[in-house]
Amino acid sequence: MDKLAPVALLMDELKNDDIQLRLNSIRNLPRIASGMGEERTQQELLPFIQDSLQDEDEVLFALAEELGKFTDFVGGPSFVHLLFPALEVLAGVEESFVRDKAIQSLTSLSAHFTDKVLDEFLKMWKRLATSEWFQPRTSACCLFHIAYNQAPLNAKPELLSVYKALAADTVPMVKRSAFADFKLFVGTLMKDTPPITEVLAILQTLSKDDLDTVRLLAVENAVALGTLMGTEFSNQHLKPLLLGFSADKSWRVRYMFGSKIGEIISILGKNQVQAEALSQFLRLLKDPEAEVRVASTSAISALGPTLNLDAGIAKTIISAIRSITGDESYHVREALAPSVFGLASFLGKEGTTEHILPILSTLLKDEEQEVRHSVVSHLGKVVSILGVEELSQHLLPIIISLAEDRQWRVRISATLYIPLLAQQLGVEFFNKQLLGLSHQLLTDCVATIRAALGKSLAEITGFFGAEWAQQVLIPKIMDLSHHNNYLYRITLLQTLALLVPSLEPDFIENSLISPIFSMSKDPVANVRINVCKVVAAFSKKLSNRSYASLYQPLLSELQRDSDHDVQYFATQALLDHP
Amino acid sequence: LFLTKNTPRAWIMSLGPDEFLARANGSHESTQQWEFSQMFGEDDETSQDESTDNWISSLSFDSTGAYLAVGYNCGQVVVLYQEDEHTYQLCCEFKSHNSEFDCLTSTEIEEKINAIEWYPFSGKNPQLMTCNDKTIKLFRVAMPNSDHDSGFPNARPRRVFQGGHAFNINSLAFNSDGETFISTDDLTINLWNVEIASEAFNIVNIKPDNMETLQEVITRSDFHPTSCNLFVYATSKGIMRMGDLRDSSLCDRPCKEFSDPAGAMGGFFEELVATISDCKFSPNGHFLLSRDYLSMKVWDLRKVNEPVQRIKFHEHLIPKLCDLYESDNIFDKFGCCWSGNSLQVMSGSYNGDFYICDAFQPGNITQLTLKANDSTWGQFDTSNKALHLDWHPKQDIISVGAKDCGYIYVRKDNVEDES
Repeated sequence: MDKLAPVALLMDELKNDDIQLRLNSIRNLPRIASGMGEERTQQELLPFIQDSLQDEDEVLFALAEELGKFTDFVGGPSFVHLLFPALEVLAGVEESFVRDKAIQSLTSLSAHFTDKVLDEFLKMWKRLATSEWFQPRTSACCLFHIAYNQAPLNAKPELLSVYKALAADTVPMVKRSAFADFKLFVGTLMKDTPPITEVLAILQTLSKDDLDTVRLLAVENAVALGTLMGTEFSNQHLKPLLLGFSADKSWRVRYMFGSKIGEIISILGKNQVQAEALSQFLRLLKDPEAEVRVASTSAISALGPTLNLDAGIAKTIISAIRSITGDESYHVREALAPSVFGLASFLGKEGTTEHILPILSTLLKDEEQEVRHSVVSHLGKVVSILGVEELSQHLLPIIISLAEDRQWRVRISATLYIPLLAQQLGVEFFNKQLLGLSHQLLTDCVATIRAALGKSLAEITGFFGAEWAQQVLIPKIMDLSHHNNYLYRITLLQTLALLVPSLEPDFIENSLISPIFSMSKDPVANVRINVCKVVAAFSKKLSNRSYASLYQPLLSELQRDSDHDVQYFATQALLDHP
Repeated sequence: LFLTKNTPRAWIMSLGPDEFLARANGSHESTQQWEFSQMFGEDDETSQDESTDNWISSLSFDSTGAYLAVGYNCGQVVVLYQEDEHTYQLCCEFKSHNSEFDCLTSTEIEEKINAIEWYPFSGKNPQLMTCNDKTIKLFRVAMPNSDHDSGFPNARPRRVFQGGHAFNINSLAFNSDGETFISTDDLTINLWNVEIASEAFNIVNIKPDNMETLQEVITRSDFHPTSCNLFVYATSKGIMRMGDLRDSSLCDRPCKEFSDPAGAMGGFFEELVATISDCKFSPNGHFLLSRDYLSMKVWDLRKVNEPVQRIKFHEHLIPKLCDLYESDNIFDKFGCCWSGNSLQVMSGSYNGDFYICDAFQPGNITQLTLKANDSTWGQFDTSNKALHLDWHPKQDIISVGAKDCGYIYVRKDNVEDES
C-alpha cells in the first residue's frame, strides 16, 4: 500500500483540472523520486512521466526543468539516458520556452555523460536532427556543439555532415539555429584537428544567405573562427568575408560589423589589413542609417590599440571622430562621449588634451541634455589622464555651468561628480573652486540634489578628514541654520547627520551645541524633528556622560513639544541611547 | 510552352518575371467551369435577425491549403479541415477575442476579427494569428494525439500582442523568415518577433505632426512571399509603397512607389474609388495585385508608373456611384487574392457576385454568383457582398464569404499540384 501510493497520488494530481496543483506535483517530483528509490523511479516513475507529456506549456516547462536535476534519483550518471525519451519529446514541442528548458537540462546533464549515455545521446540527437518537424531540428542545432565535442573521433564526420544538412535546411528557423550554434561549435574545436575546409565552407555559404536573420550572425561566427585559427588564416580566408559585411545591403549586418570592430581588428593582426578594416569602419561612422552610426560610435574605444600603429592612422581616426560631434542624430552624439573617452589612456596626456578636450567641450555645450549628461557621467575616464591644471582650466567652467544648468538631471550628475573631482584635485583646489559651488547646491530648489550633495560632502569628508570638515566645511555651511526658508535649515541638519560619523567627539560637544540648541527652538516642527534625528546620530559618537549632560535635557524638553511627531522622534532618540 | 492550370507550380515559381510574362500572355485557357461544392455557416433563411454578429469578417487558407480559418464579427473563429479533395469539415471553433472597453477613450473595442493569417511553416500543430482593432493573438490548433482517447482539436492562445497600436489594426502579414511579422493600422506599421510579445519596432509612421492635415491612411499591407526584407503597404490615395527593411530602421522613405495616374477615372468620385481596399504579392513574388473600388490592377514590381493590367469588372457600377455614395457602400472594402500559380486573380462584388480573372490576359473574366437568397432575387443587393475570399495555394479550390455564409467552389477539372 505504501509502495503504491506515490505514483498513484501523482497520477491523480496530474489529472487535476487546476493547473497549479499539476505544477506543484511536478515540483514535488524530486521528493517523490527519492521516496520511491532508484529502481522504482526507473521502472515506474519515468515511464509514467513519458506518458504524461500532453499538458499545458507551463507544466511541460516545469517538467523539463526537474528532469535536468534527476541524475541522482535515477541512479547516477550511468542511468541518465533513461531521462532522454521524455526530454526528447520536450525538445520537440511547439512552445519555444519549453524546448529551451529541455535543451538547457540536456546541456547540464551532458557534463557527466558516461560512454553508454553518450551513445544514447548521439542517437537521440540524430533523431531530433532528422525529424520531419522543424521544431526538433532547431533543438538539434542548439545541441550540436555538445554532440560534436563529446563524440568519439570516428563519429565526428557523420555528425558534421548532418549539421551541414541542418545548415542548408529549407526552413529558415532551422538554418538560423544551426548558424547560431556555429560559434559554440567552433569554440570546442582544437586548432590542429578541426575539419577546417568544411567548417569554412559552411561559414562562407551562410554568410551570403539571403535571409537577413542568418547573415546577422555571420560577423561573430567569423570572429570565432578567426580567434581559433589565428591571424594568418584570418587574413587569407576571412578577410574578404569580413570586409564584405561592412558593405552589406542590410543595415543590421553593417551594425554588427561596426559594433564588433575591436574583435575584427584583433583577429586580422597585420597592420596593413587592420588599416583596411579600419577604413571600412570609419565609413560606417557616416553610414546613412543612424543605428549603424550609434553602434560604430560606441565601439570607437576598441580602436585604442590601433592608435599606436602609426601617426597617419591616428590622425584619420581623430578627424573622423571629431566630425561626429556634428551628427544630426543626438543618439549618435550621446554615444560619443563614453566611447571616445576610452581612447584617453592610449593617447596619453598630450594627445588627450589636444584631441579629446575639444570634443568634450563641444559635447558639453550640446543642445540635447542627454548628450551633456553622457559626458558628465563618464568624465571619470579622462580625469586620471589629464592633470589638475588641465582640468581647472578647461573643465571647471563647464562643470560649473553644468551645476547651474536649468535641467535638474544635469545638475545632479554634476553633483555626483564633485567627490571624484575632489579626490583628484585635492583640498586646496576644492576649497578655492568647489566649496562655494557646494554651498550653492545645498540651496538648490530640487530636494534630490540637496540630498545628493549631502552624500557627496560625506564622501569628501572621507577623503579630506575630520579636521577639514570641522574647520572648513561646517563653518561654511552653518549659515544655513538661520536661512529664512525652513527647507534649507532642514537640509543643513540632514547633511550634518551624514557628516557625524566622520566628526570628532570634541567638536560635536563644543562647536555644534549652540546651533543645535537654537534650532531646537525653531518655529517649524519639521526642523525640530530633524534636530532629534541629528542628536540621535550624535549619541553614537559621544561618551555616555557628555551625551547625558549635553543633549539629553534637550531631548527631554522636545518630548514635551506641542507637535506629536516631534515628541515621537525625541522619544525614539532617547530610546536609542538610554 | 504556355502556362496552364496543369503546369507544375514548382516550375512556375522558378521562372523569372519576363519569362513568366511571355508564357502567361500566350496561354488561352478554355472557359473555366467552377462548381459549387459546399456551404458552411448559419444561412437561416427564416430568421428575421438583423444582427450582423454572425457575419464573416475574414477568411484565410493556410500555406498547405489543408486548413481554412474563418473569422466573424462576434469574435468567433472557425477552423475547417480538408477531408478529401472537395470537402472541408469542421476542425474546431473558438472565441478569439472579446469586446473590451477602452477607459482612456471611453469607446468599445469590438471583438470583430479583422484579419487572420496562418503561420507559414507547418509543425505538428498548425498555428494562426488573429486580430481585432487593437490586439493580436497567436493560437496553436492542437491536434488530438492518436494515443489519447479524448481527442478534439482545440485552439490555445500562445501569445498575445497588445498595446502596439493607437489606431485600428487592418492587416497582419508573416515574414518568410518565420520569425517576424508586421501589423498595420491606419497610420503605422509595427514589426514584431513571434516569440516576443513585450516589444515591437515601429517601421512605418505616416502620422503628420498636425493631425488636422491628415490626408492619407494605410489600408492594407503584405510581406513579400520569399524576400525577407520587402513589404508593401497600400493607402487611401490609391498608392502602394514598397519598403525595404534593409535600407533603414524606419522605413518612412519607400524604396518604390506604385501609382497609376493614367488610370484615374476623373470626376467627383475619383478620390473615393481610388482607395485601395486590398493588396497582395503574387505567390511567385514578381507581381502585385491591388483592388480599388472599380477594378483590380496587376503590377510588375519593376514598373512603378503603371500596372501591367487593369481588370475592370465593376464598370456597371459607375452610373450607380451616386446611390452607392449615399448608402455608404462606396466605402466597402473588397478583398482580392491570387491563384496559387500566379496566373489568376479573384475579387468579390455585390449581389453575391464574384469574379475570377486571368491576371495577364485582358478580358478573360469569369463571373460567378453565390447561391442567392430567394428573397433578394432580381434586386441589386448591396448587403450581399462577397468581401472576403481566398484561394487554396495548391489546388483550384476557392472560398468566398458573404454575410454569414461561407462558400467553397471547386474547379471542375481540378488537378492537384504535382510539385
